[in-house]
Amino acid sequence: MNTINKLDKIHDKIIQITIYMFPVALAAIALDYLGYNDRSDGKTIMHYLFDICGWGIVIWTTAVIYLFFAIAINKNLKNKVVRKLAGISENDEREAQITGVASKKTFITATGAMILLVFLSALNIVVYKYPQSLRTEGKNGAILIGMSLKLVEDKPMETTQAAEDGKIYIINYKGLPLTGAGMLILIFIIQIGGFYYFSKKESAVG
Amino acid sequence: MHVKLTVHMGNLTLQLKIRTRLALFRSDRGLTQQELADAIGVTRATIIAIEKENYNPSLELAFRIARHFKTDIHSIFYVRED
Repeated sequence: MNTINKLDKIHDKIIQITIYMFPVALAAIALDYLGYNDRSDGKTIMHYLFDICGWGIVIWTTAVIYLFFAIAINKNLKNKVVRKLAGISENDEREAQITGVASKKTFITATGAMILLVFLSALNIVVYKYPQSLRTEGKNGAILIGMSLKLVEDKPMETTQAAEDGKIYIINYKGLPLTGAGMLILIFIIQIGGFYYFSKKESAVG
Repeated sequence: MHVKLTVHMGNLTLQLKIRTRLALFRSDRGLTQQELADAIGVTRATIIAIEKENYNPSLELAFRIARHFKTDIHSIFYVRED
């Protein structure tokens, strides 16, 4: 029992780190994007800030990785993490009902937003004018509207291959080979499927 | 062969409004909202919502409230048909 309490306290701390270090991690990413990772021109206060934020991103990433594996095996922790991240408190039935209504509305909003984003990521609009030499009577330009829905990136997965530098790569994982639309559709399927499954499970009689 | 019949007989749907005398019971016993909330295991916000008739408690909670005041549910909660 004592060990469980200690573990709960550790989990609380890790959840706090995940929440409060997130802005630090974002700051590190922003500073990296702004070029403060390059020390060739000497160090300024922003470079030192990048170093500090860099440690922040290391701590945050470690906490997130731990939570990722911990919530996979601990259902209570999963609920706790979600409640903390969403700022939800369920101390009684009314708050549980409020959470349920809010979750349903969030689900509908997020699903609608995803459908819109999939549409926008697949939409192609090209408007151009012909050069003077190609213009014919009444045809000065064109408007092309089309849809191209690609779910997987074109480039093949680089796995086992001999690189130019002579290294023989056993694994060379560089993220999921999904396009933005592919990722959105995957999340959409998980969201709809999850909602359907858990709704059925909760409403099952007997 | 199955035939499904739908009979329209006007608007038969009744809107039931649950009313409550919880605030009266509580003040009669000299209890604060927080004390009552602690006694029946809910938050003060829930007591406020029930008293303002913004939230209908579950049957379980309604029984807990009635049991706390040593009375039946109908004494505290009643229905008004609109």
